[in-house]
Amino acid sequence: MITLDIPLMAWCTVAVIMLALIALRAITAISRHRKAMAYGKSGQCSRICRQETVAPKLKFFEIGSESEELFLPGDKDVTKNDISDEYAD
Amino acid sequence: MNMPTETDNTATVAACMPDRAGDSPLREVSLFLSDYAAWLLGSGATCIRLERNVDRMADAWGCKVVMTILPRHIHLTVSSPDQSESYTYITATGCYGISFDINTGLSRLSWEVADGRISFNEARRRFADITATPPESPALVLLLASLANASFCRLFGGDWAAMAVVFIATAAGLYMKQLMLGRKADLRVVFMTCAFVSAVLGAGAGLFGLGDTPEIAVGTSVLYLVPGIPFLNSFSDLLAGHYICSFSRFLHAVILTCCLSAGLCAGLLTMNLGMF
Repeated sequence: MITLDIPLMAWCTVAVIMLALIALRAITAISRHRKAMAYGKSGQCSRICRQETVAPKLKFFEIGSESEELFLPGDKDVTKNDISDEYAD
Repeated sequence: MNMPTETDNTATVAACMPDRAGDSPLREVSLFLSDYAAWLLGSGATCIRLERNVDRMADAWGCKVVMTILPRHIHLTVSSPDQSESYTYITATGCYGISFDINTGLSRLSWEVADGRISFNEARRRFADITATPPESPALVLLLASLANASFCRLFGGDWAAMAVVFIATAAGLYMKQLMLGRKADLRVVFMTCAFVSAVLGAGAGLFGLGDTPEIAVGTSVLYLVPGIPFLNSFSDLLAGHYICSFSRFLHAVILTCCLSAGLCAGLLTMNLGMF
């Protein structure tokens, strides 16, 4: 009779997921780097890679739309929830 | 009184205003101080530091300041010495995240203003530079936090195998935290998920029989998530008499600690480990 070792399965699942995330991130970074190099923008490669990494913000886990420990310099979006005078009576 | 003149209005705060011809120097100071206070509070400074820094600069520019510090807003009134003119602003603090670089830079700026080493115009330029300070490299933070947590494991009596497991568990959990925060996930969900990941991976020492202290590896694998700065700030505010901010910060830290505990308990239950 085969017994199910839940702790081992859980450990392996978490470990595999983390390795997959790291590998996916590395592969994405390498492919973007190569793409930037292929377009002949080697001087701007780091900037392009950084922009492309930051730009596509997939809205996963968006239970709350903000996170308090994420610091984005200059990202002071005070106008987002602002009710300006043009909407006033 | 050495308040700024109307001719040196060049920098950030009032740059978006369509017509600035009628702006008074006191209004410029009010806008600058409210923006300064909002950034300082949003970057994790305590209320006592905020009061001292703003008062220091206001004294240097010869005006009076009265502030009401709320958890997410600052109500600031700046008036001339004879009370003939005053401006009141309510500024939202925003969600900048805790940054010691910005805290230090803004405090240093207040001393430079107080010592008369820089003009108002220069102060605004410096303020814009400080608030644009980039965060530390995520990879460096990942490495250093993992090493620090492994060192905690050693301090609590863990052996080298436990330290290695804690290093890996911390690195994985913190990496997950960076990924989720980068996707603007809810902070409470982030804490639960990361605590679960670190607890499960930290239990690997016991699962595979690595070392003699697997229980210490599990216990210390989630220490990097403990919200130490909100707890410290809440006690500092409590001692300074800012009870509203203190209670708000304490509650925030308690909620995060509860989320951390929930993730840890879920990990322990999954790994069939006894909690007590």
